[in-house]
Parts: sequence; structure tokens; C-alpha cells
Amino acid sequence: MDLNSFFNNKELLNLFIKAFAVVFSIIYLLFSIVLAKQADIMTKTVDTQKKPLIILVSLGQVGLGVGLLIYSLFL
Amino acid sequence: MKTVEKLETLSSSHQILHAFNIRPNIRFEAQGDNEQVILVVRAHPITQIPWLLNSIIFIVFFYYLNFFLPSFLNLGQIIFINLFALSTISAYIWFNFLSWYFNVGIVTNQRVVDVDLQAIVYREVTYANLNKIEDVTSKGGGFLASIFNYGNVFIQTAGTEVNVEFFNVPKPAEVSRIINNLIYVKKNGS
Repeated sequence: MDLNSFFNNKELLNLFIKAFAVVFSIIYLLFSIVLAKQADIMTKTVDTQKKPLIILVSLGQVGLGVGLLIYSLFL
Repeated sequence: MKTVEKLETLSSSHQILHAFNIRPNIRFEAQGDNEQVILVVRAHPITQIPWLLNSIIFIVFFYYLNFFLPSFLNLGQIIFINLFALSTISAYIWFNFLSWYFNVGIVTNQRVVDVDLQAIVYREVTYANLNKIEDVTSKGGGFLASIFNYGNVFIQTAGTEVNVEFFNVPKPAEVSRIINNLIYVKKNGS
């Protein structure tokens, strides 16, 4: 199959894009989980008044990752 | 005793976007019962400009990328690309913010603590007791450092103890003055 026919084959192209979207969403989700976990550890190491806000934003990143993954599955 | 009087009159304050905090309401993991946090320093906010600029450039780049997306992409795929780009930029900003926020130097009435968070996954906490500190040096140099008054503080400890370093902190001379005063009080008694 040459490159031109690949781009003309809509189903194959969509499958390819979906696979990429799922893989990148999983990577993003893993990264945000690590970030949230480390932020949680650091708020215990240095306990500041901003702790709830830091945890909230970190969990927001994880939520964004979950949302992206779900969205990519239905692309 | 002039030095001791100055320490006692240090009132609680947060300066330079929380980069230079005197007597802040902060606790750390291994803090003793009678240990008081006197000073908390972070890198001067001006040293964080590069990643903030990068974030703005990324946002502008991804905005204009929309005009050059291939025509075979459907609406759902374009929305995903935009969402993914925004999420990545927000993660980049959050990653850099956390790296700045948790890279702190803490000075208490008993010791100096250096908390380092490198690339988010590596954490290093160094403690140096005030009575083990031999020398405190502040160094500042360069165009921006001179304008915004920031620099490095090197705290040399006795023997094989690990040396403590605070990089790019605001008012390095003030930081070393406070540490020297605390050492004086610790060694000579209040």
C-alpha cells in the first residue's frame, strides 16, 4: 500500500489516529498520576497552607488525563 | 547584644512572591517540637521566566497550528488534538511550578534544611545543624542577579557533613546574615 492510498483509506487512517490518541492519553495519565503522587509526598515534606490547592490542581490533572483517555476511546 | 535583638525583631512577612519568607506558617517533615522556622527561601521568580515564556510560546503555536491541520481530520479528532495540547501545556506549567515551589531552603533556630525536588521524581532533603556550620558564603553576579538582587548561598559544614546550597535566592546577603546571627545565638546562647 502506498502513502497516497493510506491517506485515502478513511477507516485505516481513523484507526491509526485513534491508536495514537489512546497511547498518548495513557502516557499523559501516567505522568499526571506520578505528578499528583509526588505533590502529595512533597506537601508532607514541606507542609504549607497551600496544601489543599496543590492537591486539588494535581487531582485535576489526573481527571483531565482520565477524560482524555475516555474521549480518545470514543474517537 | 545587637545581633540577637535583630533576630527577635524579625516579624512575619512574605516577600517577592513567596520566595523570601520570614517566620512563615510552614512546617516540615522532621521538624522538632521546639524548632521554629525563621526563614524560608525559594528561587527568585525572575529565574522562572524561561519556562513561563515557553508556555506562552506553546499556547500561541498550538493556536496557530489549528489553521494548518490536514483536511482529512474530522471535528472530533481536531477537538482531541486541542484538548491534548492544552493538557500537555498545563502539565508542563504545573510540573515547573511544583519544581519551583518545593525547592526550598529552610532556616530554623536549630538547623538549616535544603529540600530539592529534581525532575519531580527525585527528592533530596539535606539537614545541617547550626553548630556544625563553619562558613556561610553568599555569591551574586550577572546582569539580572544584580538588578533583582538574587544569588547563591553556600553553607559549609564541618567534617564529612554534607554542604548545603541555596541557588538563586533573593537577598543572599540577608540570608547569610540571618544564618550567621542564628549560629551566633546557638553558640553563645541567647
